[in-house]
Amino acid sequence: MIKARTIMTENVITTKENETIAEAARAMLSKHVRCLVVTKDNMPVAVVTQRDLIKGSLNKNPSKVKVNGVMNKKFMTIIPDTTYQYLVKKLREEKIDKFPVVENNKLVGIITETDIIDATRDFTRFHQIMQEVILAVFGLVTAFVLFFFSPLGQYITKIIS
Amino acid sequence: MAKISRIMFTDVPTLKKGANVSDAAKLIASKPHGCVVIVEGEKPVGIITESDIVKNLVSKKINSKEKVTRIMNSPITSLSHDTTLEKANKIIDTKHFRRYPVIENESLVGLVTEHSVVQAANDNIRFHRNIQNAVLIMFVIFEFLIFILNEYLFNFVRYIV
Repeated sequence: MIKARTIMTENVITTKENETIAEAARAMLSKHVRCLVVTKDNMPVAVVTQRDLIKGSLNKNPSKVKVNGVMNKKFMTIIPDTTYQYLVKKLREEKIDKFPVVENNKLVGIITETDIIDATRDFTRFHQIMQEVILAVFGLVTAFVLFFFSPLGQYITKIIS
Repeated sequence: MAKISRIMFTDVPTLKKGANVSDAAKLIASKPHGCVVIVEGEKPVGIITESDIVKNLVSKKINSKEKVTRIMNSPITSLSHDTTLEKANKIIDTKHFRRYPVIENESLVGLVTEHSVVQAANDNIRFHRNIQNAVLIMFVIFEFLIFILNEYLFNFVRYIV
């Protein structure tokens, strides 16, 4: 079972409700992230995505709009032991793609769609390798069994015994 | 083989080359796709993502009245509508973009995201693995039957004859 702890990004870029969206945009660009977690007392209270910043800046001055006017609550707080399968289910069924990870009332990481894609890709590779290994083992066993019960196999067995 | 046309969005947000950046920002903010494809006639010639808008408009690098051609990413990496999921997955693995316009005879017909391709490829592999396991289990039963037949039935027939 893959746990959130192994696939999360530990370095979470955060912002505060009273910062402007221009500052939030600068933070996103300088840290190369597409989402910021809005925190209060070190706990996540909302998230801000690039889309929120764009919506907030339409016909407005980004230096005058505060983060609390554009942030959204479409996220789900999880613990480090939450499983990958649970995250995929939430992403597929409820379209939630931001999962701040909290441990002992402290924000310790975040899982976004990108982390889930990477984990899925690793999973796919693992499945492919497993598939090939199982095929190879069964192929060898089948070849052995068919040979063993063939006239030549029986003849060789007789000679050996 | 599953094709990407099965998982693509067909309602792609598009703009003509003459549109300005604020049109692109409005369109991106109103649709869930996270990008807008710039077309010349039916042919896709560029793509603008949320990141490009945040980079240029929200952080005030350019004026909202500028043409979209100033900030669009061009040339684009597009996928043909009959590309298989497996091949698309490989292309995405090397390019690392998040969205790919889908074309048919040089005309834009859809849009696929990295996430939908990776997820669909994973589902595909799991499905094939399940079928493969079913076939392998049948082989095991077959081998077992050969063994039983050889050990007991054939001896019994020989004894009777």
